[in-house]
Amino acid sequence: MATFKSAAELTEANRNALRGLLVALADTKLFLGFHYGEWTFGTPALEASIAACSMSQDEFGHLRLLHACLTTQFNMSPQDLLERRDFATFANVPVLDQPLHSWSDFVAVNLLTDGAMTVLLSALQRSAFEPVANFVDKMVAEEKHHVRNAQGWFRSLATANEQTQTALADSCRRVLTATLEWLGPDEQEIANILAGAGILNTPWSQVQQKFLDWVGPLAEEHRLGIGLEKQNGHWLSRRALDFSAWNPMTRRCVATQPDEKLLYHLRGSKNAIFKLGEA
Amino acid sequence: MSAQNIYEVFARKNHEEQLQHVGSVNAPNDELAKVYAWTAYDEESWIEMCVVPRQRIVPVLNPEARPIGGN
Repeated sequence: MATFKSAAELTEANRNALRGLLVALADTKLFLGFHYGEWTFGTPALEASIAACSMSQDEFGHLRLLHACLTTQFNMSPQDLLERRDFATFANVPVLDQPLHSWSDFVAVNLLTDGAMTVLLSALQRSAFEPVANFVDKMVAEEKHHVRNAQGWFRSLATANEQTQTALADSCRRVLTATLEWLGPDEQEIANILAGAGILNTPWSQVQQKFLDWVGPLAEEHRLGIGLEKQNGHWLSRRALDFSAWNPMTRRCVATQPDEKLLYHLRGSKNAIFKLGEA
Repeated sequence: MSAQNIYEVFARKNHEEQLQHVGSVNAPNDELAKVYAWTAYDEESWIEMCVVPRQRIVPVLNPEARPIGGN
């Protein structure tokens, strides 16, 4: 398999497809980092606060790597990616558009949304696009702690009282639907192009199936209905999403966008006058 | 909710060093104890880290005393 040292060596179709996927990954990590950071306070245990804060740092570290790649390879600066950008173009998983109101929402996002990103990052390991292959192993290694945290809390809440189990199941169903919306249809041009060039190491349908086959047994182990069912040895969503209006650039079925107040905080707008090097 | 257990955390920075006690964490299960140990005591570049449920430690001296400091 041929490898590519820079975006200049890619075809235009490969370049556009990879840029779209990296922007969507970066946007999702931006909001994961924000929400994890918000949950530095108010967790059910002090150690959980430390873990949330640590995961936030990891996500912002990954965001820096992705932004650096987008800057050097695709000429998109962090300012373009975060500040000089229409809200409607953000391609994060839609459930991150709003604050995570409850601890069960946090656990569901940690397990399902962050988990889906980890499966996708695994599909980028040994990528034919060398600038991505160079940093993705570090991300996957750090994400293993996020997965452990999510599984540990999922098991704790799933074996607690009925009220807690119900809250967890409700959060998981909502987050799963949003995460599957972001993952998109089985067949999508962007993913086919990337898998064909060896930039993704596996077809997109297998990325999705690997994610569902990891989550399904965990929910089944605790008899928690999160909207999945097993068919012919594999796990599938009970709810068929309508992808007819799915936008591959925003990875959304409908034109939703992040909450304005949330982006105001993320952009540091309140402290805009203190930004160095800006008029 | 699962009961919280105390886990003692041990780590070392290189193979020549012995494992040393670096602290403790409260966690409801082994899985979260591993995460909490890693995130709470990540100030060094450890090559090995492990957690031990405090209740599994068998004291040799002063059995009535708590086995190791912390919490």
